[in-house]
Amino acid sequence: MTVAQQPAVTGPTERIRGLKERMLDEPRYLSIEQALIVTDVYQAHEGETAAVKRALSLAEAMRRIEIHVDPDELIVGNRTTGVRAGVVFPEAGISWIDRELDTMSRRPQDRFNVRPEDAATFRARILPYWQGRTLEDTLRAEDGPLLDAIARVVKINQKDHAQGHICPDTAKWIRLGPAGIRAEAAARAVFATPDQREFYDSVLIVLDASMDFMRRYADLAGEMVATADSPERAANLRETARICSKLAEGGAETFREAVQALWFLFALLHLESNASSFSPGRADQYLYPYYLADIEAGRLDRAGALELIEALWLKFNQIVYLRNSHSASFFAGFPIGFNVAFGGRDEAGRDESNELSHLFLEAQSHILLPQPNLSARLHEGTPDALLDECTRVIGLGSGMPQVFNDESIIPALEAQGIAPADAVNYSIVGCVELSTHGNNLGWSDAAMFNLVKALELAMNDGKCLLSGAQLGPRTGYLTDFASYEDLEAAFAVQIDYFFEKMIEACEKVEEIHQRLLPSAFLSSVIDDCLDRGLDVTRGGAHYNLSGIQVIQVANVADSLAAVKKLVYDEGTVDRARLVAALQTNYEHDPELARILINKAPKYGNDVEWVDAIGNKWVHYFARKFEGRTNYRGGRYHTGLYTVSAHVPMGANVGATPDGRPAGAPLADGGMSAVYGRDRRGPTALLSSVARVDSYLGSNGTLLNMKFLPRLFKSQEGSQAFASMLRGFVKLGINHVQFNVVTRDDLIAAQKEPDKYRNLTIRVAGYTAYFTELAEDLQNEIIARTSYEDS
Amino acid sequence: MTTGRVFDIQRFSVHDGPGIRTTVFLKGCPLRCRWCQNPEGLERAISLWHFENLCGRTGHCQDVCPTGAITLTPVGVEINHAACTLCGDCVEVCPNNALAFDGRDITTDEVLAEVSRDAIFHEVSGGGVTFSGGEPLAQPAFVRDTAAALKSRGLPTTLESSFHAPWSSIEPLLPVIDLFIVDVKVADPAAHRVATGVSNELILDNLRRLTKALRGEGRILVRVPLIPGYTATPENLGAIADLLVAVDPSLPVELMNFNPLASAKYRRMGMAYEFADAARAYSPAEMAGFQSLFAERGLTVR
Ligand code: SF4
Ligand code: SF4
Repeated sequence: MTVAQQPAVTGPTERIRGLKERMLDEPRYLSIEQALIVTDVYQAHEGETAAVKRALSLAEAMRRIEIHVDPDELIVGNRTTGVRAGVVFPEAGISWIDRELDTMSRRPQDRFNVRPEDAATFRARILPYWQGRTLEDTLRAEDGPLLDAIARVVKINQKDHAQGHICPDTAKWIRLGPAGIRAEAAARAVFATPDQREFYDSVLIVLDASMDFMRRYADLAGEMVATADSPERAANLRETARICSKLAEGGAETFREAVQALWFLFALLHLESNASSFSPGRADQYLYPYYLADIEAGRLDRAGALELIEALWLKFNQIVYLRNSHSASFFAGFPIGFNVAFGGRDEAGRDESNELSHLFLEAQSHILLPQPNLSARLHEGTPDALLDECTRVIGLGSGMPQVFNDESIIPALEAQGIAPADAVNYSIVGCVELSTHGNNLGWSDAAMFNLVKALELAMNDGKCLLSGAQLGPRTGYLTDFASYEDLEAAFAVQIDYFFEKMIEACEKVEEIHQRLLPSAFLSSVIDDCLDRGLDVTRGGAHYNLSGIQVIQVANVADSLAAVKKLVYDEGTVDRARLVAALQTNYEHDPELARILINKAPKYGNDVEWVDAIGNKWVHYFARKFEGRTNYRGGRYHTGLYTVSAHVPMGANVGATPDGRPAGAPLADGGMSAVYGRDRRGPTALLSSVARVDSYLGSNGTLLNMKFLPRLFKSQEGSQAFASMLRGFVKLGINHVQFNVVTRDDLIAAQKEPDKYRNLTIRVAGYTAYFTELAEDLQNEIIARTSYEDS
Repeated sequence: MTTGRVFDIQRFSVHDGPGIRTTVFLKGCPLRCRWCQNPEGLERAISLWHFENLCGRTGHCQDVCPTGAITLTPVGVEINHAACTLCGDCVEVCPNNALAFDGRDITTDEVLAEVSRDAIFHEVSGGGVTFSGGEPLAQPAFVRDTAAALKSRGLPTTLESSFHAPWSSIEPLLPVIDLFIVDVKVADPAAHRVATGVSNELILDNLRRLTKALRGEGRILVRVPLIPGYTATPENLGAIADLLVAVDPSLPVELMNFNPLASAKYRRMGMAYEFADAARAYSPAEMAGFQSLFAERGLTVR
């Protein structure tokens, strides 16, 4: 394998550099503008259904929300005039905002400034109306006790925000525009049954308004031409005006029009749902015809296309997601997940990468910001040139691209009943979640099931080691178990108990989403909603999956391996001694923690029987979904990722037999080894990870690896890295991502954040600004294993 | 079945031959280079080591030792190596892994099993197995048999050695080793003896013979470690370059930058090291200067 001639790294254009600087300099504010509009509309239409109120309020926001155009922008549009604003979305949840309003500007993670007048208006006009009417409040009132009873084992998600993690049919939107899709909806509405009438009406309302939204941008840009301070800016504004007004009436034809259309779609989806992660998916595929047509017609050159892509990349950084402080500690760095995939293969195994795939990487190497979340789809036939370019960009250290494996993911999706043509066209939504393109409500973050906590209960008669509360069924103490099999049996009982309650809770959450948050605009770009005349929250999509995360392979494998070997097989550790140590967090027996760490093999070191334990329990859990369907009638499937939730989830688990003290983080990522415990190098870690069957991660998996930059400085190091990626593909692992940064870099950034404002780092499934992370998470990242290029 | 003595087997080695490699470090070496990066590979005999920084001073080792070879003292753990029978009881009982043997005996089949764990990575990268040390040529039968077994499975093999060994140990390797990495350290025989404990005559003689046997096959790489005060002087490097030109001007040369991290290893093993923390790696500019000494004599160097 050879390292291809690397393209000359010229850096972004002046225009892009300026836009980026201005964006990063702008402070972040809480925004209540849309919340006020929505509240007005809801109050004015009190008697209407949720679907009508949602459609009318969205339409009103599209028509009234203040808009802004920078004369240098090639791609325009946002849902606030300021960038990176924290938008208040009252339909989903508001009590937490009230609780946190005064601390939001100084909370440990993801701060937003709050203007005093906004705080006052919020409390006077928004809060009183929404209390008791939001998703969050409704769920709490109806199902609070159920959620609380399982909270320490199962974290149910989507409780206070609308559903995201969706890959819309962007290709269709670009081709037809809102006008074209409206025509389709209007044609179907003619034959609507009474049940469907309201859905089609809502779709027409929001599509009409989306055209007005674009016209407003055309008007604003047009007005600005007269005051432009240079002929270039005037020309650019004229072009912006032309494009926006064209897109309001129909589809895109040029590359710039297509990119602008794409961005309008995502700005509007966020306006409707303020959810985490609407993802463009395989943009190198559906944008390519526009690129090619422009190149062939001589309207555009490669540099011009690159600048447009970089302009879009900047846009992806302008919409962030306001989370409550608890959620921000799980998903630090306000990731919103504009996940762009590139590369990949078709059903016959032919490579589908193209010039845009390379341009995406080049744009990433210039912009080096957290968004988009750039994902490389690798396969057996990925060309060396693309792989080498991925290696080069990974070596720059922004944590991107992350790497996905067609060879394991496509079969994993097919095993979930997804048609081959859809499976091969998969994309990534949010961090690492897998989805088909344009026809799936994947509900990929339905819940996280903490197997480590269930194991704790299995050893302690169902009682929480931290609080002493009786959480699970009384299955006895470890001291009661004569054999390892007895422990396994108790573990299974604990899992079964919480599993049933989790299903019940997931169904409740979906039901309330359906009741309160119908989403007509989203439905217009998800197949088969228009066909079926059914909102996406009611099961209108072609695929209706729900994803449950199994947490955390490494700690379960290490804990059970230590108990099996030292307690049951060798008898060197007494059961009573172990239980006593777990109950007292090793405080009186620190030596036992050392023994458990040092005298039993660990996941991540290519030890078959240890890895098999991890695989066995993920299997056990995943099999329980067989024959079940979710509230929308689709399938449940499993994922193996925590994003950064391994920190708070670990805070909730007592001492474990892998030698981990109470409250310490779990293993990071999802597939990673417990940090510092994988001692045999990257190939041994990958071999261990490969033993967890990849189809168990059809909802997504996450493996973090950290390398020092030195590896990428030599040609043989870069080649070895690229080869390692080929090995990763052959081993059938779904996902891996890399942090390439030195410990010293990170420590320096912690001390002098100002100097390192640009330093982005892979937190988990996404990239964030390192200096904007809370200190404990920073320390955690510093502590993670890194591989020298020894 | 042949048995050899190793102090480590490392996966994902990327600087000891092409591709991703598994490197087998053989134990025991006839040289005593003052800068040795792998001091645990010097002695052929296995011995027990105690790592003070890991020790929790529990005394378990003293309790289990059947020969009384371990004494817990107020300042640390003392091992009476003469009394130690290497039974391993203390290693097993130590909760902190503060006691360890610095080597183990391994059969050819066991090496093959370990190597096969990375078969996928060897295959996709064109990598294979490297014998290093210590001095692999001090265990010629093991290297020959293991390399032959690897070759019969289609795996590329590399030998990295000082070449301080009888030619009779080297010749049988010609058919089973694909790439020979020859370490050339000091040109002057007397200075070589000061730096490594032996003269370099045998080494250079072997290099000449090897070059003759493999002429034109591109199976030899000369490596020069850059050691402050010993090898990294313009005089020495120039002299090495002259010498190589005389042997075969087509020999490729690789300069290995000084690695100051070895001092941590010495510290951990409680051994003295004359290149204390003050020493640093050479800068790119300094490296370029050293390289030019070879390039200006027409050698290919990196
Ligand atoms: S058993 Fe280990 S930790 Fe305890 S005194 Fe001996 S060497 Fe130190
Ligand atoms: S290896 Fe055996 S004999 Fe040697 S010190 Fe340890 S316990 Fe004693």
